[in-house]
Amino acid sequence: MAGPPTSSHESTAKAVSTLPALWVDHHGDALFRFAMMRVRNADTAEDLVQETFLAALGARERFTEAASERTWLIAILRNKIVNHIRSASRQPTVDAGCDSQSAGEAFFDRRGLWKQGPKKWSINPTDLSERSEFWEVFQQCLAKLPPRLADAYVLREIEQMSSEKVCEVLGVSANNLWTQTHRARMMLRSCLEEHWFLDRSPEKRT
Amino acid sequence: MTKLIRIWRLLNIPCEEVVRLVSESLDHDLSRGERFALKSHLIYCKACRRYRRQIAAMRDAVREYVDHIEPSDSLSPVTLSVEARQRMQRALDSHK
Repeated sequence: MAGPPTSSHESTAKAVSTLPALWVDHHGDALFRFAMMRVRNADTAEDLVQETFLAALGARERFTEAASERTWLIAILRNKIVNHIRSASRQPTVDAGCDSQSAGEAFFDRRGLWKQGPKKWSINPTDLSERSEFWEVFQQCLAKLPPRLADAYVLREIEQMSSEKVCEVLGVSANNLWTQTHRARMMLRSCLEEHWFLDRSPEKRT
Repeated sequence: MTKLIRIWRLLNIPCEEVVRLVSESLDHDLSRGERFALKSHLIYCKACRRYRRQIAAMRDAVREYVDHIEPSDSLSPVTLSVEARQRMQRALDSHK
């Protein structure tokens, strides 16, 4: 009566196939985190994740088990995020012109010399325990950037798209993009320095 | 003479220009003049050297995160709210 291991094999196969009722439990947080890093707003991120689940529901027959369910859902979400950024970048914003002046002035004097150079720190990628916290601070710093700059940074550095592709999505020239990514890197570096690296330096801990 | 002036200018670009070149070198190939200006400035400017190191480290860290940490970061404090979770579950259930 004791069945051969075929039955357990069957149940494993079943677990791999898509069960939409379990999606929120299995993938909800991961998709939300993925969206938060890229759109930096909880309401927008939730909307995109929900749209992703519904789109996936409609396209379930196109899911092949060659990919993992998570990878498949992330691919749908990534598309929605890029489309969201594409249309957001075509909306007029208040930060369009004014951030261009202030960014450089915050760090350099009139002669273009450092007002205050970078402080000494380095990233230690092996420190596992602090990883999640670090990326939360990183995301908060990203959210503080002017939206256009953050969008350029997300596509170029987080999505690792080519400059050409980012220019196409954002509808900007290459020169424009390089200025945006430059300012974004500069401001992000400074924010991380202030809110992570200096907060945790050994001198401050003791 | 004009060539000497050009070289003199490239040797004397301010830090503000240098950090722009540091960033642009991550987005596209710099011209020969730009590479020369960047390299020679970094020889004597500690602040810009540090800036370049940190910008490169940020890029490496982001890639490491996206490729290896993000997909399975179960410790992250960034999670769906209970309300959002319930809303999504209802939306999924109603489409059955």
